[in-house]
Amino acid sequence: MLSSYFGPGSIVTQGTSPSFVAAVTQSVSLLVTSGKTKLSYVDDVLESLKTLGPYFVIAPGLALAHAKPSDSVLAPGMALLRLDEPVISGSANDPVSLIFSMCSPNASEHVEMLGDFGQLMSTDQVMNNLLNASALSVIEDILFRYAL
Amino acid sequence: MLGIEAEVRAVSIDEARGADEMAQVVLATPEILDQLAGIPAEVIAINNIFDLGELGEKLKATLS
Repeated sequence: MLSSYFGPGSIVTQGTSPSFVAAVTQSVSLLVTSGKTKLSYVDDVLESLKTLGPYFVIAPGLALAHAKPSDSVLAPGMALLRLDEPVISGSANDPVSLIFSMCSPNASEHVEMLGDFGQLMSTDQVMNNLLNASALSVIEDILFRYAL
Repeated sequence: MLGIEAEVRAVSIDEARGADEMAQVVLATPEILDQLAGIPAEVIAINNIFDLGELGEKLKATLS
C-alpha cells in the first residue's frame, strides 16, 4: 500500500525553497527523519543529481528524488515536499512544485513502489488536487484515499 | 492498451549498461540518454512517465 510508505511527518507543505537542490535535500531529509533511511541516503541522492542532472523530474511539475537501493535504506519509504512557489530544476518539466522522495531496499520493491505511485499519479486530477490542496490533511487524504 | 505482455524492471544506469540479459526496450528521462548510448536496446526518452498516451505512442512506434 502506498500509504504505508509515508512515515510520520513525511509530508510537508511550505511557501518556497531557495533552490531545487535545497528542495530535494529537504524532501529526502524527510525520509531520514521518518526513519526510512540513514543520513547517507541524502548524499547518495545529491551525488546522483550532481552527476546526472535532474533526471528524476519525471513529469511536469513533479520530481521523484531517489537513489539506487543500498545499505543507506532502512525500509521502503516515501516523502513529499509541496511548494506553493515552484523551483527551477533545469528539466523540460520545470517548474517543479511537488518534490517526492522515495527509497527502496531492493530492485523488486522499487518496481512495486513505482507501480503504486504511477497508478496514483496517472489518476485523473490527482496531480492538480495535490497542487491545489489547501491543507496538509487534504494532501494526506488524496495520497491515502486510493489505498493502493 | 498495446496488447503485449512485458516484464518490467527498475535498474540503475550501471545495471542497464551491464545487464546479462538486455531488455528489448529501455525507458529513461532525457537527462540520462547520453549515459545509455551504445547499449544493445531500444532507448526511449520519456518526458512524462505518468502520461499513458506518451508511453503508448512511443512504445508502439518502437515495437512496430
